[in-house]
Amino acid sequence: MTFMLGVQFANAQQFYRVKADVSIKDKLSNGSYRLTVGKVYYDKTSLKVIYKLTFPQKETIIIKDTTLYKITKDSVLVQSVLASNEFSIFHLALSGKLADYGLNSGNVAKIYKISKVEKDKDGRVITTWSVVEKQLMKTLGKIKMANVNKKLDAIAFYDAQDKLLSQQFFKEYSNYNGVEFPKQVTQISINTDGTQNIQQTTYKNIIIDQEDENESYNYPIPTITKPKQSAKSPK
Amino acid sequence: MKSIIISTIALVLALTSCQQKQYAYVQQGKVENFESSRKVTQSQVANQTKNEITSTITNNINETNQLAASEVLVLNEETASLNNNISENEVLVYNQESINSNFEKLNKVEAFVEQNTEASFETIKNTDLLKDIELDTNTSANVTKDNDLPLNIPAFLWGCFLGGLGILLVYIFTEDKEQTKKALYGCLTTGGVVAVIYIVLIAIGLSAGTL
Repeated sequence: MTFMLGVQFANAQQFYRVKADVSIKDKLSNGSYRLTVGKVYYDKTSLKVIYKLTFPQKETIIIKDTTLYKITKDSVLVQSVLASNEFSIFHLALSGKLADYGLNSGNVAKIYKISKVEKDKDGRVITTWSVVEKQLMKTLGKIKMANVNKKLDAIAFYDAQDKLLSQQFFKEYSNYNGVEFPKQVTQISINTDGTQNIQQTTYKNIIIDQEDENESYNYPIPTITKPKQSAKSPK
Repeated sequence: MKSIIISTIALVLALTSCQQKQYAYVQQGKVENFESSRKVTQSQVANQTKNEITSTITNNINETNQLAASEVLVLNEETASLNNNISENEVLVYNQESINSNFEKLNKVEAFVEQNTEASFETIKNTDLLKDIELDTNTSANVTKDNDLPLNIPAFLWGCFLGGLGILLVYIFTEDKEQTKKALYGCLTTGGVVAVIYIVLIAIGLSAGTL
């Protein structure tokens, strides 16, 4: 109950922007790596994530709705992505919903309900969320999460057969003008063949509700005549 | 000729109906599987003596099935734990050592890139930094990883296989009109395919009737 009240209180103040230096490291199941370094901007009012990357090459990536625009100095690549910025860490943190991963609000609250709350040996609050929507019980699995001091520490997603799909760990929280933001997020995704992909994202120099750099937050989306398809156009 | 075609269609329809009934039994949990369902069907048409014998056999089969089912359950649990390689208690425990060891090689590249803001893949690809590392430069795959649709299944397929439920699921998770539309197209595609199959079957039936 205290936990839920805490989450509600955090919701009281709304923030709208976040900027950070970002470094995303991936180790893929085939043994190869990925490294992406740059800055990320998120504006909650426009639901737009903008990555201004410097490595592996200079490029800007905009994710808006389910479209990704990859802009380099001589080309624009447009592709459809299965992403919803409303479940991004930026949106959840700014909305004060990161503590329960947004499971207790919006349409998702109709699907998942808390089925078990316990404490582990380290004093973390372990919450199990189960699917209550009958029609989705055969499709979706439970979600387990661990909270420390009302902050999300770890979350695990399962499929309907109770097989682990992915784990995420949120570490090194800092409070920025009232927004609790983890500086390190690690995700382990389990593939169907049992192999794993590991991704670690590090955020530095986090700024909340920045009032300048409007041109970055409002980076114009390129006009493409045929969206959802790869296209090259000289700039 | 005409009577042969009519009898063949009647037989196919009868078999289909029988199979659907058996499938319904399986779905309703009245029988465990197709094999025991067949036993039930047989016992319905047999006389009383045969019924008793069949009943005994069916009971034996059911017992065997129950044993087999429990074995499968144990096996599935073992497989599940093998697949997960991690217990429920450990799943929320962060193993920093293991994670760090996975990124040991990449950390050096990351440190270099952060110190040298003008460094790009082109400028370091032939250096010692990437000597033992295979670096994939697909950045869009990197930045869109943490907020996919449920089970990473495209919206179209959700609609295709789960119909209205799939559309609802996509809407709930993405709250995005485009994705929901794709799920709707998937649903309509399935509906269209089913309709075409029915039309073809009816056409075959009618043409057979006119022969």
